[in-house]
Amino acid sequence: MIIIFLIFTIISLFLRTKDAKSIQECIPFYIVSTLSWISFLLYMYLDSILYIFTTFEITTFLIMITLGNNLSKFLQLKFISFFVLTLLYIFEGVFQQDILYVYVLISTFIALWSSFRVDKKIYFPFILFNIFSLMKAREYIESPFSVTVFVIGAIFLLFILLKGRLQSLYRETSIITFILWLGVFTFSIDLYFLLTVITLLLTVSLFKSFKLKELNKAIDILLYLSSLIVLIPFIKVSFFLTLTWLAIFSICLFSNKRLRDIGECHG
Amino acid sequence: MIELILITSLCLIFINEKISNKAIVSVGIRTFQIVVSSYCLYRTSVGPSAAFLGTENPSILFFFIGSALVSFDIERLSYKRHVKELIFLLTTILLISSNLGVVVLTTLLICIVYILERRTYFIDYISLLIISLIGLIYFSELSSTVLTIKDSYYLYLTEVSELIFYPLITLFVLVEFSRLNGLKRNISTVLILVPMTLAYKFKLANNFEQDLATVMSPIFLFTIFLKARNPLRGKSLSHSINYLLVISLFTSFTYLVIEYYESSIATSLLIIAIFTIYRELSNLFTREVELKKITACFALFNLAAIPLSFSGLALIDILSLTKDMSVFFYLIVAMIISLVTFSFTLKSLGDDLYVNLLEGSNKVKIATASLFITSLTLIFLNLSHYLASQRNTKLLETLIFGNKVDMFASGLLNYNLMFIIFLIGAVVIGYFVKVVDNKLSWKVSFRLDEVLRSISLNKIELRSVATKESKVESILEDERNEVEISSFKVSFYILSIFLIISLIIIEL
Repeated sequence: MIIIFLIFTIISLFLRTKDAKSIQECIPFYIVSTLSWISFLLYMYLDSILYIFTTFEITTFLIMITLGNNLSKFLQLKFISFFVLTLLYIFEGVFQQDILYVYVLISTFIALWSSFRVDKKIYFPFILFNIFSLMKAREYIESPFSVTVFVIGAIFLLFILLKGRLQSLYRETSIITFILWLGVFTFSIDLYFLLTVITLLLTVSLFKSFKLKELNKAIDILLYLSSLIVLIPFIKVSFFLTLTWLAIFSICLFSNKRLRDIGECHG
Repeated sequence: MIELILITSLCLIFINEKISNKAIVSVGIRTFQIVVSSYCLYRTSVGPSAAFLGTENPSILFFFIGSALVSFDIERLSYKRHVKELIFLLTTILLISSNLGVVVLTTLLICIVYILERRTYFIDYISLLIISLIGLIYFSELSSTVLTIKDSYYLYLTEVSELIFYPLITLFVLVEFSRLNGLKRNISTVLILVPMTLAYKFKLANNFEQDLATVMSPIFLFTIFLKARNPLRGKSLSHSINYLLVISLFTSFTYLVIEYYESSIATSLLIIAIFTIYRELSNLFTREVELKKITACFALFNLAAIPLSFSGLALIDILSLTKDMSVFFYLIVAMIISLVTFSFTLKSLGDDLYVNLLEGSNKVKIATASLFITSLTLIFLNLSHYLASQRNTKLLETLIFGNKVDMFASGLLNYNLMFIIFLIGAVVIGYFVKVVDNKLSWKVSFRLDEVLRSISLNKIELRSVATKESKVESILEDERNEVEISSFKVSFYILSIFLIISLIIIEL
């Protein structure tokens, strides 16, 4: 897994440096990448859940406070998640896993909907750091309530796609990635598939944050493939929801490609 | 082996822009790839990545024929070089791998590559949906189960997927076949070979015996029926040949659903071979009209279900094998459609096919002789045990899969009886088509058209077009009636003499 992250870091550094007019522009990006790598290494050598939690919070606060946009929203969400964590002491460890799950949910939400002031491309190393944290949290947290949340999220997502007349997966990338991250977090997936799905999701956010024009077309199919991998364990939970999901996604792919073909004919 | 293919393909991609005669180099490299890989398979030294992808006793002949047909097919497509190489690599992996997970994944990838490159058709996405569902069920439930003593997957986790898994695979084959033919779509070997291979490799997952055939065959027949209006009008030769190809594929599909997997693969390989020969030769001889006519004749006679042609014999074989009354009925319907199409084509386009062999050039004579020998060889490779000795029964199938054909399998009616009924049927239908008025056939095709248009969703737009078309076609119809068709009579007499002689030979 560390190799995948290394490769993605190198690619992102390369892309950022290639685009830049001067090296000073890239310095915030380099700093965030270094910070995320320091926390990777800390994750690897720390074994207490409290230390890991502290590392995660310190890094997030450092990045967001110095470079983040729309800080009020970030702080609101962060304090809601802290409030959820205080419930741990109120219930005295009864709903421990569920409370931690809600905390992870809110953190994922923060990660995916964050934006940055100086350089919008900082989004990518931040996502990288968050996915790594999610993978670490996956080892500790296992809530029975999570599958239900995934089902609700999936129904909500399908509803949104239906409401948008099955037009485009690309437009709803953040919601879809959010649900897929939840899926990766919730279900136990075979190791090779886990690595593949992480690669796919990272590629999607790489394309999204660097806005590579040619490759933006591929985002739809990448989202479809990663959803396939997440659905492998989910098909045991509900066959018909999986079927609906696949049907809606493939119709979306179809109409999207159709629109693009028509656009190419006219333009 | 896979590494070698990868490296040579990469070479081909990189030097592609810098060389002048692209065709020769690409054909040379492709031949090299196929020959060396077959040699590797023969010596069973396949290399690390092929071993990782699970190659245990792959059939060399199957790989050789399959990849050769696929490479003919890819060179014709107008895709970019790297896409062609990717498709070739993926089909190679599919043909040699015996690991079911790899098979499912490669099929999915081939589907996606096709979707990214082709123009958008809705049916492509239906097949993507079906193959992804197959993959999901396989990886979530089947991959952890083991083969039981009965040689079938016994341990399904949910009832739904147990019911749905194998029908989905046959449905996938069906959808892929119906992707073949349509408006402006190209017939592609990959689309025939890939689903067939998938179904063959999953043959142990089949819990259904005869029930599946009764459900799946009529759907295929319905899709055939939907396209029946073009050949009735006798628009062009290539239309009728494509249509006959789809009907012959119905034969191999029925082999598949009544659980003769090996026969189905051998038959479809030979059908693709016939079609590939036709396509390549007619591309080669764009200038020489007579040679083009001869290749068209070759394709027509082999793909139509007339007795003693390739598809006709396959059809009789399967008619004598099937034990299900409904399947029997569907096959008879397919036979009638095929014969009617064939005779209508001869009737309306018979003049275009007329070649005077005796006065033709040497090239024409040689081509005719070699194509005749080729069609005889193709028929010889797929003979039933009633027509051949024990050693030569279903030769290709035995060579590819090395299994003994069951000599005593028989269904509702005996092979010989079937053959005679078939002969009489062919003569009757031929006579009927000869007698029937041109106006009636046009009328029928119009009625069919109208029925289809009333079914389809965008009928409002099409209605205005339909009135215009019918005006033009009524003028055409009048003109056509004036022309006296003479060569049809001659060809009909030749056919009936041919049939009588063949009957005598068989009875001796």
